[in-house]
Order: sequence, then C-alpha cells, then structure tokens
Amino acid sequence: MKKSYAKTVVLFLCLVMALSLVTGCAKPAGNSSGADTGNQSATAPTQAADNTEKSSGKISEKERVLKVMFPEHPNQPVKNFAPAQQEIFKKTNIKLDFEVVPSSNYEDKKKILLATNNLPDIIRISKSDVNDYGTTGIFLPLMDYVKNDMVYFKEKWENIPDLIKVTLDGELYGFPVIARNEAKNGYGPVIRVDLLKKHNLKTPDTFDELLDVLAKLKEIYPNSTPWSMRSGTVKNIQKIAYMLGSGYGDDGIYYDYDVDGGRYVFGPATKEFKNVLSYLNKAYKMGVLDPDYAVSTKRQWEENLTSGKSFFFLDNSGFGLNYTNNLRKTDPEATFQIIPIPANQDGVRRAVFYATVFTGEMYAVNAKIKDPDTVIKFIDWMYSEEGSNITNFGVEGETFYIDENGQPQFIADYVAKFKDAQPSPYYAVYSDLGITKLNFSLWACNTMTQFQIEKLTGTWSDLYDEYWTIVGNDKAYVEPVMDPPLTAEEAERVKDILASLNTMLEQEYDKFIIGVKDISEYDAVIEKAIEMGALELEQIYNNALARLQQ
Amino acid sequence: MSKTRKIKMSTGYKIFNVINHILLLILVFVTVYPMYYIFIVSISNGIYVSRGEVHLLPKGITLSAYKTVFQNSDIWRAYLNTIIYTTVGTAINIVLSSMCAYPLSRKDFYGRPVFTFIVAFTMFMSGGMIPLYLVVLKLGLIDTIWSIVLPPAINTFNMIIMRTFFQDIPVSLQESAFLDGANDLQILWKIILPLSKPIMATMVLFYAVQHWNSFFSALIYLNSKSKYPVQILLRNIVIAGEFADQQTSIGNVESNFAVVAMNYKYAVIIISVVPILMVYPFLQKHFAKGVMIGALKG
Repeated sequence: MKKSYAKTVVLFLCLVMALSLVTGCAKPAGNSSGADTGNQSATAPTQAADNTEKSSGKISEKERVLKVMFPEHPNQPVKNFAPAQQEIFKKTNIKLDFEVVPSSNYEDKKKILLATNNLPDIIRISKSDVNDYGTTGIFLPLMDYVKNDMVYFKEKWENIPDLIKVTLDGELYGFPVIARNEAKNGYGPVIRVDLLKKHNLKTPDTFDELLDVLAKLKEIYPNSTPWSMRSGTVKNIQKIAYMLGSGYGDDGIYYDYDVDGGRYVFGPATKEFKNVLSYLNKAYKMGVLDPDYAVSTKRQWEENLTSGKSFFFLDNSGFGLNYTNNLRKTDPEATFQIIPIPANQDGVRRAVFYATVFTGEMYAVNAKIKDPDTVIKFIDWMYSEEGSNITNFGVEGETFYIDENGQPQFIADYVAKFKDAQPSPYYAVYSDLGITKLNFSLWACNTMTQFQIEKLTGTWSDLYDEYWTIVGNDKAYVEPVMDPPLTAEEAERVKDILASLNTMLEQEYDKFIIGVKDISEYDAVIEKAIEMGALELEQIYNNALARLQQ
Repeated sequence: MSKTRKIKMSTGYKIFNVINHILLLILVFVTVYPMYYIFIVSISNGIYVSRGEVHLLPKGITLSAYKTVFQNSDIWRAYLNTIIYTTVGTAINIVLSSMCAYPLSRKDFYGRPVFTFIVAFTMFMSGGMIPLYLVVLKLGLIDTIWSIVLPPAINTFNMIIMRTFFQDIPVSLQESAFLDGANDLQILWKIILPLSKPIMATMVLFYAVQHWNSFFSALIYLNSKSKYPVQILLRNIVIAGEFADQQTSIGNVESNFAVVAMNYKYAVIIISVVPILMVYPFLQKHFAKGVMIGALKG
C-alpha cells in the first residue's frame, strides 16, 4: 500500500513535469502573438513621447493611456493608434488604447463586463444600460463635471434640451455621441420611376393612388409582385403606420404630434390603427403586396428588387440608390427613386426622420478611474471643434483643410487613394484614419464625411442629389421624439405589459392583412389591448415626459 | 419453382436497392448542397447572387471575393491565432484528458467512485458564465492565450468516453506489464496509449473542432483585436448587414450604401471551414480500425 502510494506521488510528479513541458513548449507560440501587440503599442508612444516633453500645456501633463471599448463594424475595421489617435496624442498627451469587440456580439461582452464590474476606462453603452446599471455605481456620475468643469460639452448640453432625456434621476452617467451636420432622411416610399414614365403613369400623390399605380404595373407585368417587404409584419407596420395616420414606434408606443397637441399613444390600441391594417389588406387583396410579405427575408426582398420583380418598397429610402446600381447593369434605364410622402386617407402627409442629433450611443467613464478631472477635460475637448475635426477628418494639412467657411474638407489627393477600395471608399478612409461615429468620436460625422468622400471619389451621382432634394423639400417629415427616462419601476412595468400585450397583438395583425378576419373585428382586439394595459403604458410615458418638462 | 422464387426475390431486392440508393442520394444531396451552394456563391459574381440567379452552377465566375478576403490583414492574423489556439489547446486537452481518464479507469484506484462522481458532477452543474469569467479574471488569464486553452482543458464527456475505452482494455495486459516491472506511467505510455489510437484520433478531432469553432470564450476573455481567432471575424462579417434597418441614420450602426456582399461572406466561410475539413480524412482511418487487433494471444 505504502509503495503504491509512493508510486502515485512519483506518477503525479511525472505528470506535472510532462504537463509543464507541454505548456512550456506552447508558451513561446502564445506569447509571440501577445508580444507583437505589446511592441506595436509600446513603440508608438515612446516615439511620440519625445515630442511631448518639449511642449507642455496639454490636457494631460504626463503621457496617459486611456482604454476605450466600443463595437467594431465589419465595414470599418478599427486600427489601434491610427492617424487620428496619433494626432489626439500629439495634442492632448492622451493615448487611446482601443479594445474593440465585434459589433455582432458587443452586447454579450458588455453585459459581462458590466455584471463583473470590470470596465475599461471608457466604455460605449446604450441608453438602456444607464437605466439598468446607472444606480449600481459602476459609472462615474457626470452632472457636476458638466456644470462646473466642462466648456464645449456644456454648450451642447444647453443648446440641445432633448439631451436631458439621457439622464437618470437627474444624474448623467454617459456622454452622448452627438451628430454633426447630419443630413436628414427617414423611411420613405421608393418606386421604379422609369416604369412610371414608360407606361405614362402619374407619380402617386395619395396612398390610394399608389395602390392603383401598382395594380396597373401588375397588369402590365403579370408575373411581378409589385410591393415587396422584408423582416416580418411588425417591422413593416413600424415603417408605414405613422404615414397612414397611426403609429407604432418600436413596441407600439409612439409619440404623436397630432394627438392632443402631442402625446404618447399606444398605436395598435387605437381605431386609427384599423386604417393601417385595412390598407395593407387592400394591397394584399389586389395582388399588389407580395403574398410572402410576412416571411420574406432581407435577401429575398433584395432579390425581388434587383431582379426587376418588384417595383416598390417602403423602407430605408436610401436603399433605392444601391438597387438602382445593381439594376442598371442589365437595364440602363432602371431607376429607383423616392417619392414625396403621399397623402393618407385623411389627406394628411406625415413621416418621421431618423434621429439626427443623439445617436443613441453614449460613453460612460469607469467610476474607479484615476484622476477623473483630466479624463473629463479630455472628453470635453473631444466635443470641441478641434477634437471633432480630428476624430472625423484626421490630420489637418495631411488629410483635411479648413475651407473659407471654417468647415473641414477632405484633401482630394489623400482621398483619391481609396477610389476602388472595398466595401466603399468612405469606409476605407474612415478605417484608415480611425474616424467618425463607428470609431471613438463624440461629436461625430456620418453623412457629412460620406458625401464629401463620395463627391471626391466620383461615386456620387445626380440620383443622390435628386434623392436628397426630394427628402429635403418634403414637409411631411417631422423630428423623432426621444423617449423620456423611466424610473426603474416604470421600466419594469412597461416590460411586463409589453411582453404579454405584443404577444397577443402580433398574432392578430396577419389575420387582418390576409383577410382571415374582417377589419370590423379589430374593435375587439383594441378592447382586449386596453384590458391588458395599453392605456397604462401611455400614461407611464406621458407622465415621464411631463415630469421631465417640469 | 425454386428458380422463379430466386428471381422474384432478387427483383424485390433490386427494387429495394434502387429505392435505397435514391433515398441515400437525396440524403447526400441534402447534406452536401448547402456546402456546395456556399462554395458556388463564393466564386460567383455578386450581381447574380443578389438577383438570386445562382442555384446549381456558379455564374460569372470570379475570385474577387477571395481577393478581398485575403487583402484583409486581420484575417491572416486571426487565422494564425486560430491555428495556435487549436494546436496548443488540443495538446493540452489530450494530455490532461488521458491522464484524468486513466486513473479513473483503474479498478484499483483508491477512492475511484468519489472522484468519478466529482468529475461527472461538473457535467450537469456548472458555475455559469459570470463566475467562470471572474475566475479567469482573478487568475490573470484575461487577454492571454491561456484564457482560451485552459478553461476547456478537459471536456468531461470526452474524458468519460476515454475512460470507458481504457476500461475495456483487458486488465491482464496491464498486470503482465506490471509483472515485467513497468510502473503506472509506463503502462499508460507503453501499453494503454498505443492500444487507444482510435479513441485518441476521435478525441483529437472532437477537441480540435471544438477549438477551431469556438468563438465565445475568445469574445469574452480577449480584449486585443490582434489575438482574436478567425471565428470572431467570421461571425462579425456574416452576421453584420443581416439586421440592417436604417440607412445613413446616425442612430444606427448599419449603413447600407455598402452592404457586405453575399459572395464575400461565403468566401470567408469557405476559408475558415476548409482546413478543419481537411483534417478529417486523415483521422478517419483510425476510426475504422479494429480496437484490439493482435493485442492478446490465447
């Protein structure tokens, strides 16, 4: 027994040795990949450090590294210490170290870091994270800094009253990413204008005319499905409901400017919503609407539109430009173009812009951060003209210049290098410089930089001008209303009500659209929805809004 | 009489054979077609793909998608990382699993039922993601290769398969080795492992595929992009754009003037899948081989 015990020990030791041999051999392989990055990030600051020692008066006295985490979109790969970050380092002595997470799984990773309180210095969060984690004390409370220490951000804060909606109980937990010079557009109707011209059809001015026009096209092209949709019934109701005099928002609750001078309404529980369903039902019965509308995927939708099987969609109106390009490879005349919002059955034209001020994204600061004053100063600088120019246009004199109006403009020679880049020249420029809203920028550009680059590289066409003119001249669009912050109990209650309410409602819509149920039966659904708390939802949102306005 | 009967049976047999073959061919088609489809899309022109004209044969053959993929330096580095994680990880898996499985397979191992129970318990109950993350964090493994290869070092299920296999090796073999003066380690090394090539091949395949495909642990434990395995990039490329809703809206990440093209996505899938597929035929020969050929005489 004793002997075997000794043997076991010996055996164990042997195994340990064998194991350490294996792991020891493996180590160099593992470390080398780590060492590479270490070197990359280590050499850069030492080079730059030489410059900083000569000049002082920067935001940070000493060289400082800030870790920033945000999602990486595959169209725009993020490089660490790209020219924009080098420029930031030169100006502020702060070196940004990016921890990027693939955007497809950013939520998973963020949730784990938040739950384990293991945050980087600065982390991108969304408005709902503020509600969920704001009170746990893992984010640095920012309101005092805004009032006392910040200059550039304070100016924006005061000029954009809507920003108060990102607070929680009067405290600010994240710096909102604010859009700079964003061109406005929204969901809109897009139709094959070349076919309208060819067959002498008038551009539809009302939603009823729209169906007539599409029905005529169906007569001419019997194998077509004139109106295609994607991603399911609810998504499409979200897009069309407001135009038809009702509304849906994300979950049914939306802000209606035209009801009682503006208030929150739970769309599917109103009689106006019947117009939406009966309109879609009419389109379905006429054979205009794709019979597979409820299950059609984005890919099938795209197939229909780019193969000339469908002539109309009501979705992101900008898609039309893509599909026109695809169509023209076989049919040089083909053109998808947006039309002004048609009048609905009440003779009203209405539509909502996408949010163009607050992007929905925020950057929170780790509560455990050292020397928060410097960090706040740095973030404030990111909102300045200088900071925004660097984080959206790169290096002055190399990649952009300031024109006579004081606005940054890309330098043509620099941009020309990316003329044929994939997936598009502007993404390639963004990625190369480390700029715009998909990188770390707090006063961020999107369309402004995109238009400039497209004009410089020749991917811009007259269709684009036409598109933006039509959207710009259309008086139907109104600004979206950012939802007011809810208290924790309110948020919980809303979640509870919506879960059961939407399960009930989402089973009903298709029945009315396909015509299994007559629209008169929808009154019963409205009653049931009210019974399940639809009005309470409205009340919660309207109270929250009123509370904010006080 | 007997002749006709024989012919009758053989026609029945033939019919059965034909139907059988047809059914199996359908099955093969159903299994192979998705893979084949991904391949032909990846070498087709993006225009035809988006118009839905590619079904059985590639159309407008071009390698531009592959060219775009290979120009992406991130993919190469991620590829190298995946290879490192897979080899190192599988080596650790095999060593640790066999060393855990062998003692548990020995009937004379003191306290065997207790250890077996403790080990098997982890199959049904796990600490959950957050505690696991905290352990990895406190051990200082975050953002190193060890956070990828150590937490899944032993897959209990695989280890138990291995143990069962070891148990089936006749004890008399081990006894005779013991009589000849071999110690436990020598028995494991010289007797057990050489007899366990089929199970080892299976385990290598199981573990390697698991490492090759794993992306979630890399996602949560790694912070530097330079350490990401290829699956993370793959997932990002394939999933992105599927949910694109608002074009040029600043409120939404997705901007669709440039959608990631289908053929590009599929090229990335092909590139990431092919190497691990290639491993399979080399290991397969071990599966077919008998377990104990020539091991025991009389």
